[in-house]
Amino acid sequence: MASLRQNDKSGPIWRWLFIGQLRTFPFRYIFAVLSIAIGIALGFSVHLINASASDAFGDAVRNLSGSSDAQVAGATSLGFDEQLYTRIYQLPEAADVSPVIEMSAVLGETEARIKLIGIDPFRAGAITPVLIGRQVISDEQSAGRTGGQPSFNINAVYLSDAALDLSKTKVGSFVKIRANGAIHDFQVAGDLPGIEAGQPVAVIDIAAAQWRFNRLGVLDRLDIKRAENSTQSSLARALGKMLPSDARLSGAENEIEKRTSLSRAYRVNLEMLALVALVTGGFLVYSAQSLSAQTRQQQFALLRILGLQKSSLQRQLLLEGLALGLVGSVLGILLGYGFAYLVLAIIGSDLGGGYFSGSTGPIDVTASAIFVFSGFGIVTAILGSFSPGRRAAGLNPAQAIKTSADNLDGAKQPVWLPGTLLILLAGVLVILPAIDGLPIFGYLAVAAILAGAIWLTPWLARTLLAPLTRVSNRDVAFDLALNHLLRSPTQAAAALGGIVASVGLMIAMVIMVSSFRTSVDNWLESILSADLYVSGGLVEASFNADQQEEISKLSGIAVAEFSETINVSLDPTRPPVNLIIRPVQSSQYPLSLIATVDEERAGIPIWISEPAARIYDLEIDQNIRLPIGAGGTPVYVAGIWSDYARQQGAIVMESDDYTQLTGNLERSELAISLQNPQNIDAETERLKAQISNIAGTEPEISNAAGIRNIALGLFDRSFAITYGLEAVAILIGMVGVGATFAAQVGTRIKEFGMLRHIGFGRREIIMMLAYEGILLGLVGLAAGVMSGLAISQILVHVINPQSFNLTMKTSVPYMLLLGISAALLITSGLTAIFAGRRAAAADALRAVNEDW
Amino acid sequence: MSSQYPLILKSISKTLPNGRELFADISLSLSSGEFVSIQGESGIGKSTLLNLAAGLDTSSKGEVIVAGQSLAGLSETELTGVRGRNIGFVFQAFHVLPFLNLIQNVSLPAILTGNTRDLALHKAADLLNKVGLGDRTQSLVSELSGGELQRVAIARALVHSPTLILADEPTGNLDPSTSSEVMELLTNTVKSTDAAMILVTHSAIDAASADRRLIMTATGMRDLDG
Repeated sequence: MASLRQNDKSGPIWRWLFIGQLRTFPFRYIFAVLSIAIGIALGFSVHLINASASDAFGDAVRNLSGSSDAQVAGATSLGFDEQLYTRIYQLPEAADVSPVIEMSAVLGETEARIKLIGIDPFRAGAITPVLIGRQVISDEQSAGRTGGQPSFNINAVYLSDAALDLSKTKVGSFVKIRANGAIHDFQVAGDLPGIEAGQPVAVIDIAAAQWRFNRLGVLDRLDIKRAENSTQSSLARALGKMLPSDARLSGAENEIEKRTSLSRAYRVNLEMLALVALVTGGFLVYSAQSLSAQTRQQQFALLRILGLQKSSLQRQLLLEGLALGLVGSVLGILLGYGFAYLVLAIIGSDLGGGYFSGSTGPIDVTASAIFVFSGFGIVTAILGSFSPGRRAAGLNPAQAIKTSADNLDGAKQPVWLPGTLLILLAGVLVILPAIDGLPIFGYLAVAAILAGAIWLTPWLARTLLAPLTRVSNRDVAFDLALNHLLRSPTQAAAALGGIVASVGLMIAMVIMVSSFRTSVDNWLESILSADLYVSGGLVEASFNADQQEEISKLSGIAVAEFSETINVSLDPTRPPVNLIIRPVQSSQYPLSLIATVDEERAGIPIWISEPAARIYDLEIDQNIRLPIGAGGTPVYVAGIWSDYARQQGAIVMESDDYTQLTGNLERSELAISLQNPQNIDAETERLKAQISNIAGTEPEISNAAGIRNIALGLFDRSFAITYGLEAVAILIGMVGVGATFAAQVGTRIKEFGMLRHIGFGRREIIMMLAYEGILLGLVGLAAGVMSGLAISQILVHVINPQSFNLTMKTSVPYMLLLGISAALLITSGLTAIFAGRRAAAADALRAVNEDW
Repeated sequence: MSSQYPLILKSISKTLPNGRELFADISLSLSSGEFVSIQGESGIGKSTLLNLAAGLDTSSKGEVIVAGQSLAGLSETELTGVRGRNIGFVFQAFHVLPFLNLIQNVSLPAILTGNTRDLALHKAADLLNKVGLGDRTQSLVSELSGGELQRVAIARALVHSPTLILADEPTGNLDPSTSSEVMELLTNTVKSTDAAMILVTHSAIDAASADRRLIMTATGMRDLDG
């Protein structure tokens, strides 16, 4: 007991030792702190940016939903019959109901994308007062008024501040609004002071919205206030009993959940990727602490001899790790906040995923986020110090005090069992399912492979390098380099930890992104077999049956196939899927089918996309009910097709079936095969003019190559942030290699001094270190490539399918990997040479006479 | 625990892991204030004997008693405590921490044995004064010669008032003139306390200053002075 008490007095010693180390090797610690700080900064800033986007979106939805207790929304983007409004209004559980039309629209000459909302001001006043405009111009000033109430003016529009800014419009002026295939002029009668900043919203009278924008007889939403004597659940029950198949019970929180659930996997993946940098930082702390412990081996032995307990010694290194983690985390949190601030100010909060474009809110830093992210940093740094601390404390002090810092452990056979077990564990983890839509076990498998690979590195180093000892006619520098590495596998592992981690993750990411991109490219090639694709353009116009027939007969068109896309809700808690209405048996417009029914059977067939099959757990030949047609329609799954465009899922239905069910013949999209595709530009211009004449609005026409370029451009944009984070992780890894190597060389000054004494020139020492660098780089590369290949397969076949519900084929970019490998070997060699300059300096001659 | 015998070795033997017997049946008792030198060929086991006495190694047979406490069966934590409280070390290679100044180096054992920082620094200053480095307490190790470094090591060995000093070739890295100065300082400083000392040395001159001169051979240990 007395001895334990003594150690409690050792505080000043730790401070002296740690400060002494900091003074002696400042860069080693600065680098370790920076590695942690960058990892935390990336993770924290990505979190803040995502949280800002989610919060802004959530605030906007809540803002527009006002104080409604429940909402009924259309199961499809076609809306629901307006009779439902009257029926719900008569419910005793409902005190008030406000009908709403909601469309995406294009505003003014600037073609700003806005949300167009049609309301009944009498009803909305009580439930969603934020949608009631503040009238700035008087009735007398306004044109085309139809009654005394300004809000009834069918020509009046109220714009939020963001909509005014985007459309560069002023109150009182006239503005064109284009939506649902129609264009109309409105006078800006006032603004919407209740709408939160950053939300581009336009509010018009509901009658104007229905009449002018082709929505007669339908509504998109009902905002409902419950009666005082009813409860939320009784209202929900009453609504549930009476809702038709084309309407769903909804709510603000439901809408937020839908959107955030769609982007959650993307956000988690980004945060995980950011934390990769932190993990690499953790390995660099491990390297720094391992080398530091090796350098101080005799010092630790002395302290142990003088009476320091083993546990205190281990605690010392853990405390150092804690200090590094603490400083790194504080720095990281500050850097992360700054980075998030800059990104939000310059780029916005979307981060390339496309889930929150247009939503940017203030940065909301929560104590829990700071706690979690700095906790990550501290735990990583402490874990990085754990093994070096254990090793240092486990040394026999009587032996350690007599051996130099460059103590070789070549007599020990490197262990391979723990590393192998970890890799086997990864094999088990990858077959486990996602938890709540997140590939948690997949990430754990990645961690297990990395840890296993690093654990196996000493064994791999010896296995790969031992055969080289049999090579004849080696030069002395190579001989010494090889023998040093063979007899110090633990030291080699310390240097290689960072390399294996960063190379492994880098290669995995490169293969994953390449596989994804190649799959998307092949998919685009398979589906874009028509020459031209026509859409309704900015007015989102659609073609009626007569127009379709007329267009089909235009000269130069070999085949014209019309299609339509509407949103359909299969599950009120999930974002709606796209229902694509088109000819299915089309040679110019094929589905990239991955599974089909053996034989067609009675009933209406649909073809679902792979994400839809995974999200809704649907199988081939399964019967489901679609919320279209009167009372919904039973259909069966006739096939599953691959789709990289619609993460929320998509369903294809034969055009004739849809027309039969709904009577709707309108189609807004068109695929054209030309009789003379060689002359595509001229044909495009000619057809544009002719279609414009027929439809009355100018359509948007793209060719297959253009669409493909745009799609791949979007793909690259969405992965831009991924590439950025990856580059930072690689940079940390590469600089880590340099720092680790320089530190290792620092522990061997005596050896170099001795070599100089026995006739080694500076050049030979530098050559020896260059060989060591290249050999180490080779071993690190081998371990990194192997673990990278394994991790890439987890990303491609486990994490991506579980996160995004789509599968892809592995595509290895060999030339890129070759380039990365060459860069790594050159970096290792150059770093070693650079570090060796110090070793070869004159000081080394004196080093043999020094004690430490 | 106090005892008039800071160290008692009872019939100790040491067999190496490869089966070779390094020495056998060595017994030795040191009284307080007694100074014993041990000479012998390289590899005969002198340093191992010191490691056994310090609880840094375990004997194959026999018993080691430090300050009245048998080391047999003690845990590593307990052995570390016994060593820290009772033993001071002087090494051939000085082993002075390069990034601490002299007073910090000397005060380490005192802090480890439970003295407050201020008291430890006060004791260290006193001892540095005694070894002639009182005016250089804030100097760094790199500014010192080999002889001066060993003086620092001597002060460090005594700062926590140990009952036993173990000195392993303390002049092995020094020139003859400095060696004699350091030896004189070591013996005088230790004599000024009540500590016993074992000096392991190859130097007959250094050994001559001891109260008892022992020699280790392959057959055991005998008294050179009869």
